[in-house]
Amino acid sequence: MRIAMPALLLAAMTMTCLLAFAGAYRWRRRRREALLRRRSIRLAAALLLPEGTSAPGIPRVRGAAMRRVLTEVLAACVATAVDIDERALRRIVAENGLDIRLLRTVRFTRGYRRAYALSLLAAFPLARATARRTERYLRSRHPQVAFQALLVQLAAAPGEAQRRLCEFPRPFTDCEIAELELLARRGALRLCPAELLRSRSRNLRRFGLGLVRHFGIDRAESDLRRIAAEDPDLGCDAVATLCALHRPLAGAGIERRIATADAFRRRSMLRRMAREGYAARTLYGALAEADRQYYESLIRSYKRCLG
Amino acid sequence: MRRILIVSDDPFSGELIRAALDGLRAEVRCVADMSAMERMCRHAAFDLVVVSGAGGLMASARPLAALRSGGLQRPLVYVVSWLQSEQTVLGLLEEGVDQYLTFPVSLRRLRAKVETGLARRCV
Repeated sequence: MRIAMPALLLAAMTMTCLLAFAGAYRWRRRRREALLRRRSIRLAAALLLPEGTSAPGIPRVRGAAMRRVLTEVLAACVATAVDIDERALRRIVAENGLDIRLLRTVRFTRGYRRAYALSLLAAFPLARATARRTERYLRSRHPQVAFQALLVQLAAAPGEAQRRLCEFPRPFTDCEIAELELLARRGALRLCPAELLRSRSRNLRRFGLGLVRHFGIDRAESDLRRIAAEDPDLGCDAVATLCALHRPLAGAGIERRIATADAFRRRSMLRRMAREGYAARTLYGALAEADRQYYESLIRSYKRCLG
Repeated sequence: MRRILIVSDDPFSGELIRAALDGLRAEVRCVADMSAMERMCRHAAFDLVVVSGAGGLMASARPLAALRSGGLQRPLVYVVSWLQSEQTVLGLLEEGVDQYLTFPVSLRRLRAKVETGLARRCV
C-alpha cells in the first residue's frame, strides 16, 4: 500500500498532464483553423470581387489540417457563390497541391470518406488527367462514391455531360437529381432540356424533368404531356412537373396515367395538386370516389377558394 | 457611418457575406439568430439587415415586426436563401422583405444591391 499510493499518484499526475497537454494542443489547433477559415473566406470573397480591392496574395498553407480547412472553404465558396475567378482558383489549388492531396485521400480511404474527398475534388476546376485517375470509382459499389466520381468527370469535362449522365450505370436518386440541378443552376452544366426529355436514357429524361421543374420552363409542356401519356416509368413525374408549372391537367393521357398509378403515387399526386391550387373538379373522371373525397378534404385543409 | 446587420445561423455564409461587403463605408455586425437580431435592433438603428437563410423568418409568426415597429427608422431587409417555393417567397415579400436573392448568389450583385440600397437611404 505504501508503494502503491505514490505510484498511483504519479500515474494520475502523468495522465492529467497528458490530457491537459492534449486539450491545449487541440484548442490551439482549433483556434488556428478558425483564424485560417476566416482568412480563407475573406480571400475567397476578394477573388470574387476583384474590382476596387487590392489583389490578394495566394495563400500558402502548411500541414494537413490547414490544407483541409482551405480546401473546405474554397469548395463551400464554389457551391455558394457564382462568378468565381477560375484562374485564381486554379492557382490556389495548384500552388498548394490541393488536388494532389485530395487524390491521395481518395486513394487511401474508403466509403463516405472517399466520397467526401471526391466531392471536394469535384468543386475545383480540374485537368482531364486528374479526372482520369478517378474514373475507376465510377464503377464503385458504394453509391455515393460512384456519384461523386461522376461529378468529378463533369467538373473536368462539362462538354461530355450528356454522355456521362447517360452512361451512369444505375438510376439517379432524388437527391442526386437535386445536386445535378444545383450544378446546372451554377452554370456548370449546359444541357438542352428539350433534348434531355426526348432522350432514350431514363436518367437523362429524369434530369430533364428536374431541370424543367427547377427553372420553370413552360415551353416543355408538349414534351411533358407526351411523357405523361407514353412513359409508364416517368409518367407520374411528368404530371408532377406539369403541376409545378401550374399547367392545365386536362387530357386523356394524363387521366389515364393518374387512373393507372398505384394508390401511393396517386395520393402523392393529389397532395401536390392541392398544394398548387388545382380545383376540386380537376381530373374528376380519373378518380375513384374515395380519391375524390380525399382530394376535397385536402383542398379544404388548404383553405383556398378555388371555385 | 451606415450600419449593416447580417443574420446567419450558418457561420460560413455569414462570414462570406461580411467579406463581400468589406470596403463599404459601413459598420457591419453579425448575429446568429432572429432573437439576437431583435436585441441588436432595439439597441441600435441599422440601415440594412441581410438575413442569410429563410428558416428563421419562416419559423416566426411576424418575423420583421421588431424591425418595423417604433420610430421612423425602417431598415431595408434583404434575404439570401436557397431556393424556396413561390408561396414562401411571396409570403416573405408580403411580410416586408425588400429583396430576395437565392444561393448560389453573385456576391458582386449582392454588394451592388447593398450599395444601391444604402445610397437611396441617403437621398
